[in-house]
Amino acid sequence: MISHISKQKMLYLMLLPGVIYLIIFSYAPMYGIVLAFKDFSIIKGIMNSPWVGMKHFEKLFADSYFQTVTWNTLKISLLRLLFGFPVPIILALMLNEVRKTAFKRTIQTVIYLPHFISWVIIAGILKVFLTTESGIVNQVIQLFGFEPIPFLTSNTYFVPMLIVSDILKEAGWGTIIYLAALAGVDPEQYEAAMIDGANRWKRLIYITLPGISVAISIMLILSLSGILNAGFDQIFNLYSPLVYESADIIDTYVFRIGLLSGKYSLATALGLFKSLIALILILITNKIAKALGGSGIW
Amino acid sequence: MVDPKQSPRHLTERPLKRKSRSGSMNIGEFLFNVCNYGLLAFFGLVTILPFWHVFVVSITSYQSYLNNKFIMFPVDISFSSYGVLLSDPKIHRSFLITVFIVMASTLLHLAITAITAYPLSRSYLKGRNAMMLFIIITMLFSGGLIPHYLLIKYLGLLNNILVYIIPGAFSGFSAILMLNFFKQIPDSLEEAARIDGAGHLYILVNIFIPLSMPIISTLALFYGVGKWNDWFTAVIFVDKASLYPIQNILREFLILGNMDTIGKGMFESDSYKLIINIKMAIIMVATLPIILVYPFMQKHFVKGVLLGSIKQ
Repeated sequence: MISHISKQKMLYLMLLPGVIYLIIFSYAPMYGIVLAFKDFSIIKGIMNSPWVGMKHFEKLFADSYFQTVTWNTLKISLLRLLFGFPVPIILALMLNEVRKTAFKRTIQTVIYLPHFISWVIIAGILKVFLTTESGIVNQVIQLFGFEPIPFLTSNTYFVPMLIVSDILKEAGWGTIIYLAALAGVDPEQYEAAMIDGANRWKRLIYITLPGISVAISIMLILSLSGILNAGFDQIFNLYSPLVYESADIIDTYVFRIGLLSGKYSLATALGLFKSLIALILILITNKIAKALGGSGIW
Repeated sequence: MVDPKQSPRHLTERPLKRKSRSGSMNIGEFLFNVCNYGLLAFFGLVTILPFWHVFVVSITSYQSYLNNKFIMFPVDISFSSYGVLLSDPKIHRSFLITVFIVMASTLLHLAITAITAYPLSRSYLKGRNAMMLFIIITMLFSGGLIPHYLLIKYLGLLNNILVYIIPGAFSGFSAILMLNFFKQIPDSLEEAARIDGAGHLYILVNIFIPLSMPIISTLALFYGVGKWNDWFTAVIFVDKASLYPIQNILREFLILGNMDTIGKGMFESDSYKLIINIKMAIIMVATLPIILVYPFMQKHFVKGVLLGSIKQ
């Protein structure tokens, strides 16, 4: 072993930068989790702050606002799944039926683009477009004789607005994985089905959907593992205290109590609660994805 | 393509298929195509029109905008809103800062990814599995926001331009993608170079990296775009506006509504009316670089999906 190490000294040296990086930027913050079990004070530092056991967790679970943000997180994630998950599949199926290559390419180019534009920019555009006084969307709504809709400030409309804008930004990009799966469906099956007189609908039900069902189930399972990520980037750039009631999620709440109110220990406890559940979800869903015949994440 | 020597079954099938597709297109087929093309075109338009409108308003004079707020084609073209941005030192600085961040951090990311991936791709290296576990744990679990914040604070990186570049330069996802690519390079290349007396660093730089340009360009493009779009780092770690990247200038102006961030002193008497056009122009300034590299990214999309889907 020692001779192996000395012989391969250079290779081990090359691992060093990565190891140092991980120790400083990944493992050191993991040590910081002890904050969740201490009463942190900046002056005493992490080491010398007193241990308080589960105090912060008890405080958290007793707080009704914790239930609000957890419920909001789950609600928004599930709504995204319900309305957002089928859209890329449908778009991919539709694109797959297009025979004119130029048309198909153009649509693909256009619908992939918003994925690469940050939520700050999209939120900026949404704010300009959706304001009740002068936003172009509300001008159109008024043109048809309706009352302007306060998309950004009403608890009724804010969450639907989140879901629709997320679909417009990400659904196109989401088609890539299904288009790849569709390209893998054996064309001979279609030819045989056509000889047997199967119409377009029957071909969809009996050939296309079974052909991409593995891809669909893996994507579904992977999105379930992210159920606690309700879209921090999007919500943080669009929300305001007016819509906290319907759209304040765990991530935005951690940000506010931790970095704005300075309750480091409480925020760490909430963050830890979330990371632990996320870890369990990832481990379970990855197992299921592998069992379904996918490669899983690793 | 059809092989003429293939089974006779194929020969009878081909004409049938052609006929059903184009020859005698029935009415149902026709309606299906109209709906399908129509709906796709509609979805495409809904996606692109907001950006197009932003672009048109940014180059339209304020007066024409007032006359027709639904403007979709530029009339009375005026670049005055870009003029306001160009003459604003804050915009200059943040644009340059962002370009610097993107270039420096992407280079550092690629360097550290390649140098870690190389030894891990050598099957004869002992302790590889332990190192992989060491990496994968960091992909599954993290300390969370507050410990990360305190770490950056203790490292003295608050309000420091290095905070955009150094933390996060190593990512397990990129390292694994790169090492899988390295594994496909034939061992004989490494062995031959070793026999000629080349060291591992030499082999990495002169043999592996030139052969790995497909994965390197994928990583560079996706990491670079991610850095261009990064606004969160500055929100938590930087409160000096002079160190803001372009995304945060835009955030201040458009989302938090701090008009004085941009064009302070520009809004005398009636030029304050430029505001909507300036808003649109700054969105364009932050978006254009992405649109410019977009064509180069297209051939890397499938790998990029992999990168993106495992990062979430």
